[in-house]
Amino acid sequence: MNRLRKIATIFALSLLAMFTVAFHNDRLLFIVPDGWPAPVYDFSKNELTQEKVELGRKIFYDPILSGNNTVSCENCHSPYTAFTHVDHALSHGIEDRIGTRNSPALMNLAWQSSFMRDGAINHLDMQALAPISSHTEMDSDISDVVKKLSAHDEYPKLFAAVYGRGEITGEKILKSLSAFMLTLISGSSRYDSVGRGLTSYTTQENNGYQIFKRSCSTCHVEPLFTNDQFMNNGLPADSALADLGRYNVTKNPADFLKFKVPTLRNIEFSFPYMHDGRFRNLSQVLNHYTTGIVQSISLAEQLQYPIRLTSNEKVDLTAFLLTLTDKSFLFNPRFVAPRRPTR
Amino acid sequence: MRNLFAIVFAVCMAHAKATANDSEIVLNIRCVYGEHQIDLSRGPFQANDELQTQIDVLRFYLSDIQLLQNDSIVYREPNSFHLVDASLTGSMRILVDKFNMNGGKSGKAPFNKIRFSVGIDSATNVGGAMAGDLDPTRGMYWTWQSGYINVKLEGKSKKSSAAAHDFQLHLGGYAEPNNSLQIVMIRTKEVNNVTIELDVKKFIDAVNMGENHHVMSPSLFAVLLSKFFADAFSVKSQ
Repeated sequence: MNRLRKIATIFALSLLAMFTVAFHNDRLLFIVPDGWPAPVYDFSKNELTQEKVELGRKIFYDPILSGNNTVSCENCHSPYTAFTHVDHALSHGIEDRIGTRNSPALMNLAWQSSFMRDGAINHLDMQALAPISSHTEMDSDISDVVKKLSAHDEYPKLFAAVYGRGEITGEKILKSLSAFMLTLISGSSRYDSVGRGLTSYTTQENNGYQIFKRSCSTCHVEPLFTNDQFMNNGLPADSALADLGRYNVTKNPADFLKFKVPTLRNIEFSFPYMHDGRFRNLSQVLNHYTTGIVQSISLAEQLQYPIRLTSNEKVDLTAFLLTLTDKSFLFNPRFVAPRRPTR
Repeated sequence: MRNLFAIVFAVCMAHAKATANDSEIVLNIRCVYGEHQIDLSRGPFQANDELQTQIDVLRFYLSDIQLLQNDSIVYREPNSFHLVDASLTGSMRILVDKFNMNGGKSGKAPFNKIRFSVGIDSATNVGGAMAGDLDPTRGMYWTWQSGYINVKLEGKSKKSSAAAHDFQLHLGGYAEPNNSLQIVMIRTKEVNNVTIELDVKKFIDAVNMGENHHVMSPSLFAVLLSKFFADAFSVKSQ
């Protein structure tokens, strides 16, 4: 009887330990930073586990996704540059084919309700289908990816560990990729530390913050630094690209030349800027807002009158924008390519 | 021994699932072109009419299947999403368990109407990655812009003014004003072995292919074509 009780106790304790570890790990996978709104992503349909995140990470960095096994997500979304394609106005994909847009930086995706510069994608899970199928990006097909992963040495075991027995499916691949991308949270910049009372701005940064709140924050809403909406910010249309933005999706003339308001977090590293990467540095961006706005019927209400900034104010605003750099995000070892097969 | 029993039980259950018996209602989906059955399992369908219609691909979603007695629902299929493909005979047969029905235990299963949707509802369209017939590998999901393709019909017809008289109709769209989901309600006298017929000729006759032989994205025209497609369903008595 005593022995039985002992076994039961050990069993109960080990169960408890297992749950604690699982709970602990899952908590670490996704933490909503203090003061942030609730995420948009429905985690009840795709529960995060360590194994699923690691599987998604492996797929993210694997060129097996592309038609000729040469291009991975990393090609246009490098972790060291806030997961965008640094130094290229228009991102290029398989066989150096040039696309029509600058790849967006990837971070805080759990709070985003639509994806792509024009919001053509309605859910994070479905996002990866677009680059996988695009002729200029990966030029493959989700069915081909399923076939290649199913015939791979490691993937069938990794999928079984996450999803149990059964075939690799499109759904499982997409949910794994989402799991990894959901963990890409940037909420530990100097701006955040100031907000949490851990440090304070320099006078210059504080001046910049006041200018930001006065002139930029209705579209680049704190704390995510985007309102997740589509706006026409007065860029002259590029006749070669003829990109009409949100209009292409809705066919509504009111959406003419509107593009998703991007987050400003990690802006120091996510150059070049705008949907077509036309500005190489922040000073070009600020000059656009002060003297470059082109009037049109769909121009954002907030930009109907030019933003006036002295050159000193531009320097101060830039100093503030640099406080949005989050080194713990940019150099997070859990976000970079896995070195060896993950188990 | 217990394992053996479990295996035998599982096999029996699987068998019972796959074949119709007295406790099940069979919904057969039959695709026809006028008088002729469309079976794409061995290649394209060729009609010998004046339009010389050829059908290469015919796939569509049937969803939210309901059986009604007058206006009250006696059965609503849970998780009801079926990809019907004229090249896969197995996809043309849907089984409904009478024991899940209101009043079904009497074995009578009374109903006189069938209601179903052609296409995928908007909540499912914005719900992320899905399994089974909704998996994006089934070729019924747009990649460049999120959304299910409700109906795919591809082939040739002299009505089409495109090169080689091709037509390629991919009908879908879940957001207003381009929501192309259609609800079909049809009366039936047969209650055990129901044949739902889709007459593709009726659909093609209704479509102006002189201008619109290729539809590949959500639009008001896709909504109109989806209505024509829904109108081509009927119940045939055996």
